[in-house]
Amino acid sequence: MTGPSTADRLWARIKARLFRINDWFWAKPGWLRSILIALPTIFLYFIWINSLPKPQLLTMVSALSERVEFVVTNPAQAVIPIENMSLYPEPDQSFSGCVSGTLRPEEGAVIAYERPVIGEPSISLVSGRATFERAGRQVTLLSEGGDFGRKGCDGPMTPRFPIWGQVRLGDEKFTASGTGRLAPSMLLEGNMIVQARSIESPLLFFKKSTLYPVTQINLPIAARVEAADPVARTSFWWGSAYVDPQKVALQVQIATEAQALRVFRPGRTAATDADVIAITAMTQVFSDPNMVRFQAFLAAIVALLTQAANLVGRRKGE
Amino acid sequence: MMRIFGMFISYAAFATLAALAVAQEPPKAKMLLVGDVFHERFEGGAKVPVSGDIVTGVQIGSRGGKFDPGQISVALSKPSAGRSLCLSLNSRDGRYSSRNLFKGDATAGLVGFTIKSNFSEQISQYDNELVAVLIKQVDSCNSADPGVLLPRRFGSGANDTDIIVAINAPAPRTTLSLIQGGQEVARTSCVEDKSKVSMAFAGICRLAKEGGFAEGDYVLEVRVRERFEVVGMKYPIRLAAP
Repeated sequence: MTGPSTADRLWARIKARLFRINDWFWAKPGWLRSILIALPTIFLYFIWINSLPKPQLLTMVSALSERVEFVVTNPAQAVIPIENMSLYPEPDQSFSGCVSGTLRPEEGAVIAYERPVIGEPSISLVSGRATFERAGRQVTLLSEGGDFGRKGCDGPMTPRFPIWGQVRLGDEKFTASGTGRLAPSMLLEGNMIVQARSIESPLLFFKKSTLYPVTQINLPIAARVEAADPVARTSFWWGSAYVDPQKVALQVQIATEAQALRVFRPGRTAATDADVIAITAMTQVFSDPNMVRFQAFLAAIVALLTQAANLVGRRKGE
Repeated sequence: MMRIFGMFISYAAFATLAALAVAQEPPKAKMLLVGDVFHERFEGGAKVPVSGDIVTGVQIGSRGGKFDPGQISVALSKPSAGRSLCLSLNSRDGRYSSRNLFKGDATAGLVGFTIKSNFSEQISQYDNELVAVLIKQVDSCNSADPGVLLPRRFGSGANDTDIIVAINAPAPRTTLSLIQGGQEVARTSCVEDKSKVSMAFAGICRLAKEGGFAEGDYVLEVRVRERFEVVGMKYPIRLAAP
């Protein structure tokens, strides 16, 4: 005859301890049992929420704005075709009048597309350098001289202006400057749709990542919208600006994967800075389809365990 | 042990006070408000006044920390002695603005302004760099006469040399020159800081010269490259030793 194996002895010991904990738990009054279950559960839940990876955002902006500017991050993607526009100031005679050609901004250059509420569009080299090529001739433009407009020009112009880089949409400085000129800068209206990418995990319940809607926001008039961290890798935008003959100013359609956006607007004080648009952990928990699925699974497990504990407690009491 | 600790505390307090006294010696003479009412406004909502000038602030040197309306001073030279001065304060977000005429009997040196603001608490929330201070020697704040700009000074003990100008114009399109006797003494381009709401001014231009600028009368020329034209404006400016 051999005695019980080591594994059997260990299992018997664990069972005895579990029964002892069970007895101790069920000997407590009902309100204390609820607290003993609720507190660690809530604690663990919040730890879990805060340890979740931040979701990737995809924000799409559709706006009517007098101005949109972007910092060129990839010159190859920021080549601007110029059709029937005049260059100011004229570098020499060969660039006078209406010209067509190619504007190649260098990395770090800031390009602004502008169009007043009523009027013609213009393209400005705000800072940095760019090269303009026309009929085999080229000229280097510096920020001191690089405005393309439609002054005295007819005929078709560039159908749309490409945007690829760090964007600044609109400018809160919509009033006249000290020179008495009203620069086209105002964001007239805009709509922002924020979507997020659901969490993807090798776990069974985190299925393949999908986009889910987070929120939709109307942008305030005369606001300035940009990524909260303009130099972050994800803070680049892509899209276009174009003239819709049925509408005023420029139609701007852009998107970004920036994690958070900033909205500067008149009425917001300089002391308190800008409004921030970002996704919160709670939004992620309740909107991410994979998260909702996982939480439903967790809830089912917890319900099963509670029932099992109930059964064990009753048997022990019998 | 306690005595050593007490000595250390006394020494630290004395050193701090001495350092403050040297860094910002308060002006003795005062410019007094002309009239009884301090004209100012602080917008609670989104209404923003349109600023009507390119130059919204001129000062020599800069300071960190919060704006203190009781610490505004100017250095006067003899041609400015006894003349009235128009003091304009503009918060960068455009919500606070004041414009008032002051007069005093100081002959020369550093002179402080007696400010009776009803919004001292609100404007003290701003950092120094967020409030533009413009001091003009004119007979009336509403005068069409451009007057003479007198830069704000930070105490007589301070070793400040650079002229810092706040501008209400697109900074990347603006250049500044300081001219004396027809000769350009200094030139600078302006930089834009868009990390805050910018209404009354956004661009900051820093004019520097090795060894600093000599006392005297100059002309501050501002050139703004607007779309398809260049707009230039000239402002007489007087530099005086504190």
